[in-house]
Amino acid sequence: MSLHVLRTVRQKLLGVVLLTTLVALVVALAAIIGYNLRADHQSLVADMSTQSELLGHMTAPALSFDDKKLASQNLSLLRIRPKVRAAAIYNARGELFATYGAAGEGQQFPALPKVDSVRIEGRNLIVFKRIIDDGENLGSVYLRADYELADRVLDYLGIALAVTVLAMLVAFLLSVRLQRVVTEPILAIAGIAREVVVQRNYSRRAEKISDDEVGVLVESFNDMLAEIERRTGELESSNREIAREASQRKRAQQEIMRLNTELEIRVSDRTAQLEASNRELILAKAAAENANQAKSAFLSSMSHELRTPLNAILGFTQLLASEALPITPEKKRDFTAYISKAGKHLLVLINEVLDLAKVESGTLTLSLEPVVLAEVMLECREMIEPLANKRNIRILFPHNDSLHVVADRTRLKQVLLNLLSNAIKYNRAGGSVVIACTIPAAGRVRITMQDTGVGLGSEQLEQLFQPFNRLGQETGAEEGTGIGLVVTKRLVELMGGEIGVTSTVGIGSVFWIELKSDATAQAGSNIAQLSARARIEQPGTGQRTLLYVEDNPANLKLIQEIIAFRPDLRLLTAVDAKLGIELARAHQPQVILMDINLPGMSGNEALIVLRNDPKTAHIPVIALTANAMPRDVAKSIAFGFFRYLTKPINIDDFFEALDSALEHADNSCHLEKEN
Amino acid sequence: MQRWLLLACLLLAILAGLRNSEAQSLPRPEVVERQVKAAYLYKFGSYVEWPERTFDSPLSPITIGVVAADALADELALMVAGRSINGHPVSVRKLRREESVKGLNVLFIGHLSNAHLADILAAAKGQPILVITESEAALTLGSIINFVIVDGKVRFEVAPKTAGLLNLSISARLLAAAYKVAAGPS
Repeated sequence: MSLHVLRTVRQKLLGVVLLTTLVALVVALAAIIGYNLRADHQSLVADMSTQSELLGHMTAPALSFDDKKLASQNLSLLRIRPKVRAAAIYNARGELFATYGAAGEGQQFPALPKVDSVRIEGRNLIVFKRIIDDGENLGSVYLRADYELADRVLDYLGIALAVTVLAMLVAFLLSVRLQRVVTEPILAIAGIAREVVVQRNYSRRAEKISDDEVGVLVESFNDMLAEIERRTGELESSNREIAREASQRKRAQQEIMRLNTELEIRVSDRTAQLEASNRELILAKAAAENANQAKSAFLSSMSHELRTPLNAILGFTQLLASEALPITPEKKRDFTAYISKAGKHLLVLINEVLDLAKVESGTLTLSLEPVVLAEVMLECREMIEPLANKRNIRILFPHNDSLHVVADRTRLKQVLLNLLSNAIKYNRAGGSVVIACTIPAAGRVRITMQDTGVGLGSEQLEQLFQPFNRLGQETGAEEGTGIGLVVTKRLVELMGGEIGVTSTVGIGSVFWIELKSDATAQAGSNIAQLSARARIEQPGTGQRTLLYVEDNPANLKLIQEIIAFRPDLRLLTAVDAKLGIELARAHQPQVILMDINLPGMSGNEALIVLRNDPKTAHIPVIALTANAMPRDVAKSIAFGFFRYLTKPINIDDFFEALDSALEHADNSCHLEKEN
Repeated sequence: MQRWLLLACLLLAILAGLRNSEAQSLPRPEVVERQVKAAYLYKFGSYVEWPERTFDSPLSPITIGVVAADALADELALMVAGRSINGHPVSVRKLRREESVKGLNVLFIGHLSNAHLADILAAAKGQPILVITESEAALTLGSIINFVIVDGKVRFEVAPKTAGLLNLSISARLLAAAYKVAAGPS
């Protein structure tokens, strides 16, 4: 059996022990058997030699005295030695002298004796021995004995087999019992190793049971486990690190992708914006082209419109100037009436064109202030009713007179008149115009004018406020410039308002404007009361001069009305700063009232000029402005204004400031005189 | 020595051959008997021990005296020439009846009358001499070994007690080969 066939250590150990035992047994038994066989052989040979010697010695007398009987007797003594199967005595002449044969043994003897010898023939040991007695050769002894060595061998083998089996059995039992001493620590290590591999738990340690090589193995194994544990730990931590880095990288990648997406979205947004702005640009370009075309059309129209009245004027003037023609005085009156009418039309035309030019160039200045809507409406009514009556159009004005709007009074009236005249001109015969004032939202006032004209289509509505369009009326009977509504729209927008129109063809149109309402709208109604009081307080002393620099006619009118109640004051007015400065130098007023928002030179700049002029440096200047922002107030005070009054004017404050300034002027005047 | 032995054997073999041929040619029983008796005389010496101081030295000869058997003495002399007994050379002396037996170690007395035989035995009495006879009842007269003829063969009877009286020790092996062992002298 080969040791490789054995699988376990236990089996191998068992195999080693058994094999070793077997070898030892075989060798020992072989040695013993060999030794015994040799001893047996030697003993048998010696025995037989002795026997033959003895026999020879004993038989010597028989030979000497030729006594065959004695020799036979001597030989027959061999029956007590059953091993000796046959024996014979030869005399000195080599003749067979006496024989002996054991029971059942054939009486066969060599014919002649041989020299002394011991030899083995088959299962027989044959001995020849010469009989020497007293130096004389008396004959020979022949012995044939059983040579039982083969049987002995079998016996020995049998015993050896039994001993071997017994010894192997004992060795097996002992080995099974004792090998645990060796195998158990190894199996313990093997078990731990298997658990470590299966569970991947490198913190396990084998228990050291013995101090032999297995103990060393346990220590080495534990050291190895510790090393593996350490390395596994390092590997795991580095794996975690790698995984963490990978996740970070992934996050960063996702962030980049997100940013990319955002970027794409932004790019597409920008692209969309660009496309939108491109579209707007195209639209704006189209609008600009339209406007350009309209402007060209306007120029030709303007040329036509201007030429038509001029043609009438020049034509009738030539008729009047011609002395060759017989012209009656009646005809002369008619001609001058035509000329006058054409001139007026021309004037209106020129004014409107100028207004439009101002609006378009942005040089039109407005003076926004609280306006009593009812007053404006009343003025408009007076101006428009003759036209309405002439065309048999009924106009209904609103009755609520408490509304105030923030507007330029003159321009508001212009706007209303333009809309009303349109409503009348493009109305049907016997139609009506209804005007209404409403409050659509807090701080807003809406004025609507509803007519009963033919109405406007949607396309016409789109082009209604485009410049230089007359909405199909270019060839109509009504005279117009085609720029009235454009100017109107611009004016409303400049006043912070809105204008719009809704229309139904066949029923009529509704034009509306919306303006800011004035929160402190009591000024107008206070005027009368305060004027009365001022008049009472009028002291009646010598007249003093007051200069008011103001570009807004409404404001001028208001201050004029207020000062009219003070007979001691003479009011000078100037519509811009330069004129104001000239008047101040020329008339040396006691007090100057200065608006800040003046066309050209501002009130602040004018004050600096006045202060730098010795002639006017002493005159106190009161700022009177709509600029109520604290920053502006502080700035103006810093310029050296005597007082700073904000519009709308509180009349009490106004008089208090005025009196204070006059007193200051008197004091400075007295000081000059005393000096 | 061995060469001598070999030579003697050869000689013996030749003699034997001669004798055989002689026997075949001359079948004389008395000659054969004489030869056998001579050989026995020589061989008896090997089975007997003499008392100490009988021989001066180990090489002192054993003397065999022969009385009343001259032919046998001659035969014996031929036979023992060159031979020895237990190391001692052998010498043969022919004696007359009245001749002193002193100095003999072995004495063979041929066929004599009992009177003569007794005389000789008396003369030898008390001396360590192996006396050998060939007469009936000789043992009773003081002989130690006496030849007898049994079935035509030469046999001998022994009286060991007689020998013992003379301090002669006779080997048991000789006794075993003896035809009869006498109880002792009467």
